[in-house]
Amino acid sequence: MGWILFISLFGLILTGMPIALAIGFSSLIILSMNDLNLVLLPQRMFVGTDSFPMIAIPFFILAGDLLAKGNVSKRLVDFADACIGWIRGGLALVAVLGSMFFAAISGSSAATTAAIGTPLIPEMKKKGYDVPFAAALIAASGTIGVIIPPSVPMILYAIIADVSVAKLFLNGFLPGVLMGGILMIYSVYVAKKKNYPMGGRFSLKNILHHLKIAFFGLLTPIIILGGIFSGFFTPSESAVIAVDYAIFVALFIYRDINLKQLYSVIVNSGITMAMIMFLIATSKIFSWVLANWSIPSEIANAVLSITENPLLILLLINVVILVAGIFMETASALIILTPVFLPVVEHLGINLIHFGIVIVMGLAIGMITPPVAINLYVASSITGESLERLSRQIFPMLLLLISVLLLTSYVPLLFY
Amino acid sequence: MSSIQHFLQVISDRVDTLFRFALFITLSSMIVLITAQIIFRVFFTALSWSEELSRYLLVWSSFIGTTVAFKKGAHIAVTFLVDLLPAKIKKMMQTLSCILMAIFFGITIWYSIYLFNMQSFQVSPAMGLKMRYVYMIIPISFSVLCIHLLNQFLTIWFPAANKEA
Repeated sequence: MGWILFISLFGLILTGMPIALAIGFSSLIILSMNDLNLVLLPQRMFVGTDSFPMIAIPFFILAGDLLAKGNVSKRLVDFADACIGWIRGGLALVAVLGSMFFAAISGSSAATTAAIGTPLIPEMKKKGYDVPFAAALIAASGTIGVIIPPSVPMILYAIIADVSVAKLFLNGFLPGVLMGGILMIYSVYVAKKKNYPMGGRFSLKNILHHLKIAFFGLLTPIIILGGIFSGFFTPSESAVIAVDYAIFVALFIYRDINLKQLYSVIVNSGITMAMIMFLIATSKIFSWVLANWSIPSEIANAVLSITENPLLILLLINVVILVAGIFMETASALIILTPVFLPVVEHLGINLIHFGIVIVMGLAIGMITPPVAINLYVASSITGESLERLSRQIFPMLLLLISVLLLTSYVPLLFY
Repeated sequence: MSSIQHFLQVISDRVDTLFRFALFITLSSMIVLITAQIIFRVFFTALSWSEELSRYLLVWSSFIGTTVAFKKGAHIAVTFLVDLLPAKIKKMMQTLSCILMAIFFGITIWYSIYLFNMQSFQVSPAMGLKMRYVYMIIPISFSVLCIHLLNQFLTIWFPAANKEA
């Protein structure tokens, strides 16, 4: 059954059918081959979306979209510029730091790329930066969007693997900062080589000035994460609080959104959310099929019969994740792969929180590996540069991020 | 042919406008509801039914949003391989995937109506809401998906007729 399921799944995906429907249809093939009652289809899809923790998904997306639309990202970029713009290659560092700030507001890496790239890339172009380099750097920094909390893929993983969202979020900080750090070091190296300019002079007054302007944006992560980590709000509640706050800030404090725009932002975030929710719905049929024929444990036995060495298996899993990331975007790959890997990971005694960080990071890196590289598409549509030119620039950054992935896999930098 | 196609296009567009509005309403209600839930929990006594209602609103907004995303062509798909194929084979592949999707939608509608009839007595634990009304969104949204799919299918085969309309 496992073979039929996976071959039909990948066959259907290759016809260009939406992945959510390919997942549903391949499960349908197995169910009808075995003469099972197909009422499972609507029933499992209903169960898949009927969940309180999942409410966090639409509202973290919406909060990020609202703040990006309301120019909060531009203010964060200005603040980052005041902090580190005076170093050589300052704007490149601002790109990374700005993405890290926005990552603490947004739970999506494509949204982070768009939010930071839109105000910053024209600025970098004006100051003489090589445009493909600037665009590639922002796409690469965008991956941090799902590592530094909040993070939509982490919520998905937490629901599939049945672990705590708050613990995953807490453990996302350090790897996210590492990713940012290594991209900054690389930027300084490139800036020295290409003699990129430095910005204005360092001034504490300037920092304080921009801190004041960006203050309400910077307060968002404190509200979101403070609520979750103190245990005062559930992640779903804190996502809704973030939306309330974002609406308040955009409508009344910064006043850069009107009611009509609010309508279109809510509908568009609803579409983004529905793409993920529909994947979850049909994958619930898929996971029923997986469980009913014990397919994940069969795969686990097959893997464990090759080797029992956890280091080797972890490497193997990393390779599978990265390869999947080349052809699929994060949410679909996460939904297909997590239930398949969990039995192996549990057998080896790897901590499920640790594994969650590894799989999310591996798939986030997949957002910059062409041909399916959503962050690169976003950066390329902002700049008008071709995907090929960006891909050449992204390669060294990709290797650096993979090195952080391996470090995170083998050196668990975690708080349990 | 082209008048039927035009008619279908209009229906598909109107339903989409309506569903966009419904998506806005369900999402906004969830924001208000959960905000109220937090306020009541912190300052008064916790509401017993708000969590259940917001879960059902999530189900509704997910399926409503699915149709809007489908209409917009926003659902995640791997198209780079199909795009490499010559136009004729590409058209065949698209037709095949349309037919398979139609089968999936049809079966889902059939069995969700079956589920609707089966659930005539079941009520939700907190609000006492009849579950069949919650399940109802599945046949509704999948019927809308069928309309959008048929419209999309005709556009693949008769792109010119569509432009005239």
